[in-house]
Amino acid sequence: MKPVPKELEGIELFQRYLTTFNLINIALTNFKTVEDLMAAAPEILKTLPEYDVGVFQSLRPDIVIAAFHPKNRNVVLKCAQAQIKFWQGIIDDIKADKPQLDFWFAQGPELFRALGFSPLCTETTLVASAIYQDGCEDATDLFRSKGFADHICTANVAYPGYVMNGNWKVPHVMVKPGTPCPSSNLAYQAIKKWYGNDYIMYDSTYYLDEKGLAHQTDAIRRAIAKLEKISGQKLDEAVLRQQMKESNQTYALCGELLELRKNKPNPDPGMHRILDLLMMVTLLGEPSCTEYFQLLVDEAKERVAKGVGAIPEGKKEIRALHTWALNAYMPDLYHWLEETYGMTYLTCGLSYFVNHQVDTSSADSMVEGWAQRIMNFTMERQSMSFGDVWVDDMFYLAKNWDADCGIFAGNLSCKQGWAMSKLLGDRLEDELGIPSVRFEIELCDKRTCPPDEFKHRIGSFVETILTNSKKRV
Amino acid sequence: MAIEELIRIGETIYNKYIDDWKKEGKRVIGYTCSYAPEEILQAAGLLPIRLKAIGSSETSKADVYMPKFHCTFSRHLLDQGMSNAFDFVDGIVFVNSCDQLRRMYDVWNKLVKFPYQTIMVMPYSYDKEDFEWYLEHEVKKLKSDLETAYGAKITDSSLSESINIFNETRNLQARLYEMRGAKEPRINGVDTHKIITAATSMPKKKYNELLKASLEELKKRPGITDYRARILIGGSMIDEPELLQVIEDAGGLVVADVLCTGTRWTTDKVETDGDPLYAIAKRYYDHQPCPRMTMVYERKRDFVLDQAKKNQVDGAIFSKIAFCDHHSGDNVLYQEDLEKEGIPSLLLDRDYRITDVGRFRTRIEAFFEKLGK
Repeated sequence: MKPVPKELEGIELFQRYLTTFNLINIALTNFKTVEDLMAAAPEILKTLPEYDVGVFQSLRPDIVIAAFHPKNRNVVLKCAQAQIKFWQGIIDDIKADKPQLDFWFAQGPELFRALGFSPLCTETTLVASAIYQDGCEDATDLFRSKGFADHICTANVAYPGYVMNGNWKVPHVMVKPGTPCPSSNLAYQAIKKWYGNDYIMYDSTYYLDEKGLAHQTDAIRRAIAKLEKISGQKLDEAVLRQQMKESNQTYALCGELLELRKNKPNPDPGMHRILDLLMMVTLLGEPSCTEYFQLLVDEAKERVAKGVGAIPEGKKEIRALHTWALNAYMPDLYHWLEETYGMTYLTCGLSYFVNHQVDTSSADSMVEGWAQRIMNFTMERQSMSFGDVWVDDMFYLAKNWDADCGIFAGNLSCKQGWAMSKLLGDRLEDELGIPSVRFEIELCDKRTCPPDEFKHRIGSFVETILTNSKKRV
Repeated sequence: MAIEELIRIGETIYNKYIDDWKKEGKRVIGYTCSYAPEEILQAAGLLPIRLKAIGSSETSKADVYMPKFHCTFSRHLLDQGMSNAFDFVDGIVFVNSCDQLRRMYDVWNKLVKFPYQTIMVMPYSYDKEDFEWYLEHEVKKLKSDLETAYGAKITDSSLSESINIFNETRNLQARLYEMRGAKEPRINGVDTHKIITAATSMPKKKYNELLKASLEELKKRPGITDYRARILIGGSMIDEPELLQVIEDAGGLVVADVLCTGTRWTTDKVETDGDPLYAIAKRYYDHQPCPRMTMVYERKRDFVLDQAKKNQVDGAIFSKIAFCDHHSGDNVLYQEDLEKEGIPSLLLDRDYRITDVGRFRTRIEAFFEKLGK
């Protein structure tokens, strides 16, 4: 793994994202087409610092091309501009030695801000590496070089790898619910052992009911008390209220957007799903997150009004429900599927945000609401509990959003996920007559299934199966 | 000889003691994890049996539902369930031990039906409130569900009787471990493991009688002196001690373990004063933890170091069943900490059933050479 320059010690990975989003902002603000950008690129690159040139050259070309497409560019630009502020804020906070809190992704950052922390989601920071030709394989390998197995989820193990190499400053505290998952638990355990920072794990409920909510809320209240001691700051109710009111608006828009995807053709481009997740775990509670989802809703409504979708006009739509986590693998894939096959993206296990409005009348009601959101947060909802929750969710989505197929693709190291794949496929097939397919990939390790190989495989599925299939029910 | 009898029983999943139990019209209940509170199962008049996939040679049925990169123990267990190998049990208690076993339960629940089957949820943290939740919502619920399912009445008296029997088992097993860890051990690791495992496959009262007699028999044995190295074994669960056999065939002697089918299962006793249900819950919640409990690494490490030092081991061998995340996490860290204490370690990956003995023999012999033995 490349050594980190002294000036980027502890912040290199965050600087990489800051630079990336800056470059995207410059590109989309100054150039109309990707061809214009590429024509000007040689001259622009001469003016950029060496580090920025390296980042530019590491981007996946297909993502840049997709970002310029008219249906994607406004949303990508909105996301990039918000992300610039976010990553600059992370770097500034680290330099100022503000209490840094790294959290596992099935949580929103609102509560942590109200406790005086600079919150950073670990897993999504790694998953976002999908935008680069080489993601975080080097950090994964560094962690593995200590002797850890190669079957531990790659969305988790690059985190200690980056910390070991100095690309990521050891946080003051790490916070996560108990489930999921073994991979993240052991990665956090190793960091705590090696660096001696604080690590708070609060218990996750197994039950999506009233007693489960009571247990989850109680566990979070206890975690708050521990966090207050670490940050030296009491929970700021006013900040929390402002954050939760804002995130209520965001969640309402998520719900509206999901409903809009019931339209035929689906008006919401699939490439945005990874951006949704990134925005939710970095900026939920901030106006920029709400503005991002407002733009998605506005654009989707506009397409519905015009009778067009995210696919080329005249193309027959194939509506795909991603029953696990495909959205994070290679975002440009969905643009390619839309343009090539007319296959749209209904939702997936990492973008299914259940609209839950939090009662902001008191600190207690907000903490309970935050707990309820965690229980229903994408992935947490499906993976912390009985498998039926997941199967029922996907069945509900497939039926009500009128899916044509189910695509199960996700980290093959995610044991709790893969054990559900057959049951999910069977339910869709048996009760809705919808065919399903399974693809073994790793979100943060493209060596497991190279992008072009994956395109070939999913393309074959679409061509040889879906084009000939008819719903039997 | 009592020793031979226990060793033989330790190699079985079904045996004459279970058969006799069933012939008396009594019921058997399976469980899958050392976090399952056996005392409560016994207090309901049931015979608790730890489910093993002994005799299982393939997982073709289970592989349809659980892909090849899942732990082979969970796949063998599911396969055996789908193949009716456990039809002699009248119910099963699963635990959310890890993602693979809890998801196996989800699949099992769809495909394999027993009159009663449930999954107990263990918290991941050690706050007293989490214990209270566990006691209230999991342990008391289990008691009440068992009473309903089997028409049993679980009383304080029956719980206390169970506690006493199980504590006696643990006392006797501790004496067996002392003999295994002695300077000149009276028993090897393989036989010890089988004797310990026998406790999961027969009524504890009868087991205690046989183990008492076995300990007397062992006293008369000469100590073992012709071994190359004293070994601690840890990592994923082991029911059939194939790996221990390879180690001992190579000249090693397994004198200590930190297995959930060994010392971690037997070490902590249930308090005998106060509310028995509370005491049982407390014991299972607080007992020497599994790698799933990542908030208490220091406690886990200290136990490993303590076992290694107490039993004067020359080296440690940590194996993990392929695709087991939890043990992958802990084994590496234990290796770091043991080596700081001058105790070399070997990390091995294995399937639940070991068939490639030659590969293990080569690595283990090389390890012994590294130890200078």
